Amino acid sequence: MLRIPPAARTMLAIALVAAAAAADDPSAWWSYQPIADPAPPKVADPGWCRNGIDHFVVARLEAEGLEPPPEADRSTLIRRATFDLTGLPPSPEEVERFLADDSEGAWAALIDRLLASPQYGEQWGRHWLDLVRYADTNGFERDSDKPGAWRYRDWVVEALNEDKPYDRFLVEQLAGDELPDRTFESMVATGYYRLGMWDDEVPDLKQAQFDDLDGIVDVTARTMLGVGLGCARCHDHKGDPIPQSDYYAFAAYFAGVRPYKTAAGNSIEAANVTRRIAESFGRVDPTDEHAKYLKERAELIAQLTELQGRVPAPPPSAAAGRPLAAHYEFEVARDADESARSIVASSVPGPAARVADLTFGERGRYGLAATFDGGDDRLTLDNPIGEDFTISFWLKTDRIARGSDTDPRWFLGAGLIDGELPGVVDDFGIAVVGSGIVAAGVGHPETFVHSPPGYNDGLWHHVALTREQPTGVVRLFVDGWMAQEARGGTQPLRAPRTLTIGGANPGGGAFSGQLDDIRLYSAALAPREVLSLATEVAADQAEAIAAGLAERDAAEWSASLARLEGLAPPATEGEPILCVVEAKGAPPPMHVLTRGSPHAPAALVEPAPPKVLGTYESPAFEPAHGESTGRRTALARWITDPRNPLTARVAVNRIWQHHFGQGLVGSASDFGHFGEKPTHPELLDWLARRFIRDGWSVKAMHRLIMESAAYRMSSVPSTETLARDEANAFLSRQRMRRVSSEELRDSILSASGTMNSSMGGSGDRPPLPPAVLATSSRPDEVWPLTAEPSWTRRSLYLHQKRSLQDPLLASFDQADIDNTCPVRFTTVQPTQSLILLNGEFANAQARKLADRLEREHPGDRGAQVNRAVELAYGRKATSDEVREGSEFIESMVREGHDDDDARALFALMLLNSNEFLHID
Amino acid sequence: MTDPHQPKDSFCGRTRREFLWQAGGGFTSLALADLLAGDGFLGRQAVAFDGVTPLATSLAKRTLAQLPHHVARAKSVIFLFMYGGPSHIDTFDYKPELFTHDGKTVEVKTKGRGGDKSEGRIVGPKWKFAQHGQSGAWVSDLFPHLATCVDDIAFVKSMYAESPIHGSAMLMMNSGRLLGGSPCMGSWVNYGLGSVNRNLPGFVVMLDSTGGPISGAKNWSSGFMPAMYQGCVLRGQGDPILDLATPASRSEQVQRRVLDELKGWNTRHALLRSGNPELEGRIESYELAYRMQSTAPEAVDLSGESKETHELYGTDEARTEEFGRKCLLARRLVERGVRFVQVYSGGSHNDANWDAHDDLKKNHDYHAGRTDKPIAGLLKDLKRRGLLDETLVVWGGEFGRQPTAEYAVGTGRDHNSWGFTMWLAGGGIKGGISVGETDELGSIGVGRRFHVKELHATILNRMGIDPNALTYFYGGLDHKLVGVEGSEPIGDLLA
Repeated sequence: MLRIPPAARTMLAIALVAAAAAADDPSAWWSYQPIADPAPPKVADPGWCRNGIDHFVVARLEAEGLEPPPEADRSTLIRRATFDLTGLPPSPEEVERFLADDSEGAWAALIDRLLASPQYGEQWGRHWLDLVRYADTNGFERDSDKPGAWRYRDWVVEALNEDKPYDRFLVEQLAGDELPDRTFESMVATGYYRLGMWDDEVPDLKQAQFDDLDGIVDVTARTMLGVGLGCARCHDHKGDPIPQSDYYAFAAYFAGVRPYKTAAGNSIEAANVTRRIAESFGRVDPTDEHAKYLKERAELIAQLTELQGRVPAPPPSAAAGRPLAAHYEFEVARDADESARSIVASSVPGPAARVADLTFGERGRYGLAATFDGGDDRLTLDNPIGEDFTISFWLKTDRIARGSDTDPRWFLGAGLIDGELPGVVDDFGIAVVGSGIVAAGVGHPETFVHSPPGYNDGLWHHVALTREQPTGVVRLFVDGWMAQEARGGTQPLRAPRTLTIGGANPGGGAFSGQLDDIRLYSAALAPREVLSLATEVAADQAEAIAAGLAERDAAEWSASLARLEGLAPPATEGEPILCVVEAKGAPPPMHVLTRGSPHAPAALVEPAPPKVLGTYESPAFEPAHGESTGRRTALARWITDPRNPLTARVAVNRIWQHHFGQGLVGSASDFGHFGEKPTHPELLDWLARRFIRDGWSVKAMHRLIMESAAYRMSSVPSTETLARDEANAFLSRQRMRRVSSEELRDSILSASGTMNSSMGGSGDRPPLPPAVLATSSRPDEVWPLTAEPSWTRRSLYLHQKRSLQDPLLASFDQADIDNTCPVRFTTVQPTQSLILLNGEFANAQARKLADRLEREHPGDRGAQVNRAVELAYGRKATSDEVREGSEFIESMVREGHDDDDARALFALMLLNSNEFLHID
Repeated sequence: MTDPHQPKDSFCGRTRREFLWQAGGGFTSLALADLLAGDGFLGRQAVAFDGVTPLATSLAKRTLAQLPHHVARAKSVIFLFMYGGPSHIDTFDYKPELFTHDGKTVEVKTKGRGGDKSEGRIVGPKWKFAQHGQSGAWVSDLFPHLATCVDDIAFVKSMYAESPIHGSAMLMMNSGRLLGGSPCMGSWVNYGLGSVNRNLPGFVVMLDSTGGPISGAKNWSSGFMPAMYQGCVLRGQGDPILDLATPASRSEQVQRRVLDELKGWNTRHALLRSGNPELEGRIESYELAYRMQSTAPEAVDLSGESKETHELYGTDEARTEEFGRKCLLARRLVERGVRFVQVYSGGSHNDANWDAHDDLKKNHDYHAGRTDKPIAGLLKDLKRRGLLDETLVVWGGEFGRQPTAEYAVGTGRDHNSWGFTMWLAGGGIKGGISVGETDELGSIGVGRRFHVKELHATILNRMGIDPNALTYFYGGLDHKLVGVEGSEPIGDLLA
């Protein structure tokens, strides 16, 4: 059983529509016309009307000869309003207060309270996220995390909570980076461009880039304009007067947006899709803490190097005398002969490294370096190190590697030095994970250490990992700074015979970037020795150098060295945020693509709005901040121009949809010829006008709609209305609706009293059934649990992973993560009943609800049943229900269940009941 | 019970639309044809079965309402997915040249995960080939059992796909597109035909014990279709379907009492709320779920199968036990009307599936050894029970493998989407034939090549569906499994 948004259409219908459209003027379609300014019609029974909306609704009912229905009762009203605005049930106390308040302004005060609650943004943010197909991961083989995508989600929630005007809400997403008053938040808003799926290992790069662009074009046109522009990608639109060239002219607004990647390898390019921006960006002077850090560090190093140069007999080089077991300098020319390119010799006595497909001869940190392409490039060598060791090397990459910023365990990333034996514990490895996190692990249970993100900035960085067996101390250094120290096990390592360099073993994440000066020591170097390797400052010879210097110089040397040792990269430095980045200079030209193929470019096009909507001039481009063309600003201004016939209509229709279960235009993202016509066209225009006049305030629109008598109608049909308006096209009643998947899970948490209402931050991964994890290709790694308190946060914050969904949410019609979803399905399937009746989550929560009942009303069966009904249904229990519920619990006790279990079974029954799942 | 709000023109107190909806409350619902079918229902309705879309006189209505479009030759599909990409040139596509040139470096264009290459070192096949059956089909020593079934099999030896990378190639084989978000084959079949058995899911997926394939649930997703059409993961041991079993802490009797109590509360609730068929549907859905709790375990209970049957599938041997169980389960499921069963050989990554990048011999000996006898057992068992005629069995991976070595040393082969072999049997497929061929090295299909979409078109065709007429409107387009431009079945295969 199901209700599906627009489906089942036909080529014939299309042909018919097209023929009809051609006969008339296709651009005469209702939604392309300017928004009218209708006055609310006069009605026979104005007494029913509370505001202008009602005049339109009653006029229609009167025209159909139908009576407006009675108002819903007050407990229904508060439950309806609370769910609509917050996605949560009202608490029994809130219900009680509302029922007790018979003042004139009680309803308005309730709406104000709900609109002011932070949960409002969470609920309406979810509606928006459905449209823009928000996801935390990219999909495909690795389904890797989108770094910091959650910031965009939080931005949406916050924008709604602060009632950011809807036009500004759109402008920031489309062009937040181009605004003269841009801020950290407006930059985050452009994460809008990065939400689509992305295959980091594409069979056809150009095709993939255009598929990604198509996603942006399609989502923008459907979500903001209600136009199915995507249909014109391959040919002229079959229903609407949109030629193929209009599609590409629209796409040209985004031509400068850099794609996820521009070269081969299984990674994505950090510089194309992220920027490191401090949260103070745009608010205070854009001081770059990171730049200050780099400058200070460079000055200290220069000073120390200069000072140590004054010592007449310089002390021996760094870490001299330590047991260097292998040293690879990669001084191999690009055109060196085959033998030099197949084996890299160690420059100290040690094993030679075998080469699989490396590129040599690129400029390195010292001389030349080895370049790994992110594919099958590898070095392998016989492991020369044992229990105590130091691995030191220089690293340079500009890629976002495999693995997640929120779970930086090294083996999930792109392998650098891998001493792991598959399936064997007590080994070790180093990798770069996600947004340039250097991560390592040693031993069993494995001791994990990692750096902050950001070392994928295309600069050389020194990395060292030390392990000392007697103490179990493991240290990870980046650029000589100790990023993390941990005390691990002291057991012997079962290090493998072969070390792999450039990839995780076997065949896992491959490194894309360069490595140089790899050193393997059979001893754990001290921090000062590592600093010496990283900086050329002879920190490990500090005493000898100080002794050789004049007293003043020696003091300066020691002081500066101490400062260098204590100098950490600024923690306040901006983390990489997912946002739009434009290529410098002129954007690539945009062509019409024959049959949509990027390999068949035809006529050149310039950015322009769809012609059928081009009834007013489109704004000029204003290049902003010297970073971009200003094209996206021009588009954003054109979309949010009050003269645009679609933007405001589409927006108010979506707000209406979530208050009445269905939009005035049912096809909420298609106002064109394939869509449905509005049931109340004048009302739609009246609302759109009000919306613009009220400064595009979404909250004002909620108030207007909710204060109408129409919103407060009962959802129970009379025999008359059921016979005459079965589909409720005339709005002869409110629409009863099933709670959404998120509302269901959140209501359960709310009833049981276990909800953690903290907001924002990276996505949560609560436990999932092992059977669900087993569907992943990496059952043991795919879903690292987040901290336990996060398990009961609102469903909005669940980590949105494309290849793995929470079964409860998926079963109750969560939006498909890969597609824009304007209207959710409402299906009834037995899997829903099974999950809610037998599933671990439902049963555990039922038990928590039962415990709550006992806690709040110890030993009082009747009060417990009443309380449970209040929590689940938002109303008091009837005496029949109290009696029946109590009898049920008693009967369960007779079946041999203890009191707690019996109460939990009653709670479970309530959580499965239709009244819990439906809103009148 | 007399409902004062009972509408006129109703079936047992329900409008026809409600009746259809409620009847569709089972797994994967009623067939589209039934939903759209006759007796004036559609003429009276302003909207389609979804309750939303305006449904004027339309071709979709007519073509969809006519499902099946022609006489179905198959009622069910069993898709044996050899995940990772088995090597066609080591299994069924015999290339004598490869044996003679073993170890020689030759010029040959290839494209795999390692990128484009124009030459490579030939790796000779590691198994001997021989001809089998009356048809004389070539089969390597990897499949001694399957070799006895070749006269029922049609090989397609010039398959090609659009991606040599697992992630996108898997999506293409399962959903016809390189990108996620589209419904999979099993979803399309159930959308078109519905399930015969309301107590079992119509689209069942059985995974390898090492884990799912890359992209996990995307491989059985219903994409933009409702969740009722998505594949249901079925396990051969333990709780066969997620949360099917009543928690151990409560008896069946108590479960029944909970459901009775629930029914009471729901009935009281519905009394005051006529006109919402969903409420009734949900009440029914709990009863269906309860029935499933007994019917589904019966379907997966192999204890009633004879010892001889177990031996036929190899469930009595450690090596073939896992895949044998799944093949036997697949037979039991199609016997009970499940439309589409997909069984994965291999899971996870690397050598846990057919992705033989390093040691071809070790990898393929392992995976073929685990599947050969069970697959042959399945074909034989279906045949002797008269089920093979109505069950379409499909075998293959997301692509094949290259004739040349991937690395400087070793026998590993990289991916090859330019030419590979798949086979079909039963369900209206001609047995004992082979169509298409690859070049002398097996690196690329030559002559008549067959796109994955043509395989999909063939499968739909045998199920009685015109692949170009089964459409689903989403996002302004009439989507099809075979793509908007359509495709035709592979004519030579059709019996």
